[in-house]
Amino acid sequence: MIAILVVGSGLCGAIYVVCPPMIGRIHPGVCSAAP
Amino acid sequence: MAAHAIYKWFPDEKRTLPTAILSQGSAFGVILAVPALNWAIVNHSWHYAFGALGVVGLMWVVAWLVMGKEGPLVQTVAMAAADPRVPYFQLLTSRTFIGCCAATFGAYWALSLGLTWFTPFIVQGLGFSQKDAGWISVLPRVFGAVIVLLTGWVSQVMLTKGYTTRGARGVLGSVPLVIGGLILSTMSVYPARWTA
Repeated sequence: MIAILVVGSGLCGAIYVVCPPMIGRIHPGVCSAAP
Repeated sequence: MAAHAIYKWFPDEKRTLPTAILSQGSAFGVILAVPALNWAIVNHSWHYAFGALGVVGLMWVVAWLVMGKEGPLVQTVAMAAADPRVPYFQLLTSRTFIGCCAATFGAYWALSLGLTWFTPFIVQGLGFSQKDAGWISVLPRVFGAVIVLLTGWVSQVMLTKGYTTRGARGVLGSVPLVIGGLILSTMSVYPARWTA
């Protein structure tokens, strides 16, 4: 059970790689979505 | 605020790994703080734990005042004025922003579960002592740090090789989220005796 919780919640930390740089990529010229 | 500050030091194609390292500041904080605070609570009282947090916070403020500097990638007033004005509604309804909100919403169910439920579960559900629980509680953070740093490094390599942001950040970062969610969802089918 501990291993499942460790791996499962640990993988969800990948959110930190996704969101800040992608939101930082939004630019007025391409504000509909990141390319 | 911290992400905004480091984006003044790194251009877009070199931001992913610094962002991953930055985000692990909170993980390393938990790795150090949980056992240390447990020690303070067990050997002294919870009052000492709050006092220690206050002292560490003040030390951080002093370090930031002494060491914090603006990066070279600061947008000037003239540059900002030259950009077209975009209404907030348009920014907040962009697909990237909505996608990031949805991903964060999903991920924080698991991350919040780890913060609020993991330690009580291993003490009350699995029978570990409070002292042992302090060490076990850092394991998700340690594993998460490895995943985030590895994903950040791979993402940055992909960006330098010409992959799009959507592929090198959106897809690459979302796959671990989906796998993590599937793994956690399997907990609901384990027999009760595993958790007793």
